[in-house]
Amino acid sequence: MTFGGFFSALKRKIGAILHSFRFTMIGSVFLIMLTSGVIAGGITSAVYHVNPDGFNRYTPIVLILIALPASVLLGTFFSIIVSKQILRPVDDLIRATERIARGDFSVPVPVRYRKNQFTKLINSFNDMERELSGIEIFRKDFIGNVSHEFKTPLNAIRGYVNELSDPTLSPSERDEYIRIITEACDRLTGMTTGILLLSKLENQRFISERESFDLTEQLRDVILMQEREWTKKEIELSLDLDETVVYSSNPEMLSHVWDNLLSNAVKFCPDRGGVIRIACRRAEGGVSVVVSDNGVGMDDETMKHIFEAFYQGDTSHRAEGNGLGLPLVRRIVELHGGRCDVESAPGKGATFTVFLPDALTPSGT
Amino acid sequence: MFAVMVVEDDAVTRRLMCQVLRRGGYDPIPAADGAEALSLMDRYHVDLFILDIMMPKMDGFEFIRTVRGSRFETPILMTTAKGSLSDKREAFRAGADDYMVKPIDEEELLLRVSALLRRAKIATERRLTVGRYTLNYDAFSVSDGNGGEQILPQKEFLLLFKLLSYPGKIFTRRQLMDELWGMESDTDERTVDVHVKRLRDRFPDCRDFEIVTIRGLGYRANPTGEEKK
Repeated sequence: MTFGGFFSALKRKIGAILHSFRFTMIGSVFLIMLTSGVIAGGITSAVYHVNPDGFNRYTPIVLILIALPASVLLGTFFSIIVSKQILRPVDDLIRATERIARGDFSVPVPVRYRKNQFTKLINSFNDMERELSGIEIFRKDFIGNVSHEFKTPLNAIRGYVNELSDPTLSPSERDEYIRIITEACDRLTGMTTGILLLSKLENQRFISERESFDLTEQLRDVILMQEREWTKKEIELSLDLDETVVYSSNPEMLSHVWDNLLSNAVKFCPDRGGVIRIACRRAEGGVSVVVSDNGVGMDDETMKHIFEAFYQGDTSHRAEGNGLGLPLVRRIVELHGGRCDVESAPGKGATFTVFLPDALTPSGT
Repeated sequence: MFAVMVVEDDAVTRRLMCQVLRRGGYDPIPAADGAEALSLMDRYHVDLFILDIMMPKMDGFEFIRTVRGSRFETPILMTTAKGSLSDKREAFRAGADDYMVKPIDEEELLLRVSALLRRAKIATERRLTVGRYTLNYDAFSVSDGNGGEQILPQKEFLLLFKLLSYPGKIFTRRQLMDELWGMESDTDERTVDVHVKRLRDRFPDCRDFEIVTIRGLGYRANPTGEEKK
């Protein structure tokens, strides 16, 4: 369903609810009027019983004639006030829906009253708005970023392929150009895989195909998968994986988290004397995994943005990554209802701590 | 020269793979889909299949089942654009020996093909030679080439055989447990440590291979003389 379609449907639905609600209100106004009329009549007869001498036989009729419209007016007045109060959040919601239909996600609907049914409705409405604005930002920036990120390697490929047709090239130049082209292709591949995965995860609201498995064994698998990379840089691994930590999740999905954290750690480790520490432990209400390196580290500004798609703080390592790894990590951890914290300083390495709560409640947003 | 059949519907990819294999010293046989591959099998001897999953007419899974159903134990390396775990599971369940996700790194393809062929050779010969030592799978025996021979307890033999079949590859204790004691076994992972220790004691002066402990990860057998990876 398109965004526009979704919103007009939503608007129609809320409009319909409101319509039936207004009908009920008008009904209750009439009810109030009727009751007040009856009460007025009652009072009249009561007054008559208390003081029958002051009454002639027209008095009750006169009294009723006066009391009825008066109470009707009063009743209407009150019901209008009350209905205004009650309907205010509904009007807020209507206005918000119209706003969202126009594509404006900036203002949440205010919660004006004490807890009641409306507060709940408004809260979930605001949740929906936040969620939608996330998707919207993802969609807007994304297309721009994607096109840019794809164009750069494509340009390189095209350019260097053209250069390759130059017959005067030396063999070393030729090899260099071929290396650049291969790297650009790998970059495109990595990006396509990342984007596909990220977009799949963005549309996912819960974790499917959960199973219980040993997290430390998964970490060992991921470490072995990248054996080539860390042995090449002669990185020393310090592993604290001796405890068996059973966790329930989708193992394939979760392995992307460790894969990305480890490949980042390897990437930012110095060429000599690199140390990566990986620890996995049971924690209060869940599990915690720490991946830390003693590499280049990063400043506060970089740390603020690392979880955003296509952000790359350290431009010297640009070619090795695609700015999608940590957004993937964040999304997957979010789906688990967990947290991913970073500690780092320039030159001091980086420590990523992932906390995943045990799955008792269905995790979503 | 080993004959490798490339079953792949995309003509460009097929041609590239054949080229890579030829450069790697193999004899490639191209086939555009499962049906063509089956008919080519009548005419050529095939040592290994490289098989795409998504193909018209007969897909990769069906092809494997047909081949395995007719008791061909030829190693099969599956390649696919999809990298999902369920795909991988189905591939292995159907009888594939290895699995690679596209785009395929050419060098890695050659490495895996050679590893698969080597293991197929070990599996058919049921023996494995490392330096002076020969492991005989049927007798669980290890002979040292100087007339000395010892017969090992089954688990110890299988452990050594496994490690030496994949020289340089690290196995976690769990992987070795699952392989040797079965997935359902609830034997302590430390049992592996005990067996490794016994193996080391059995071959105290072995200069042809060593079993190395990788702290926190597991074990690896290094054929000595080969550079540590």
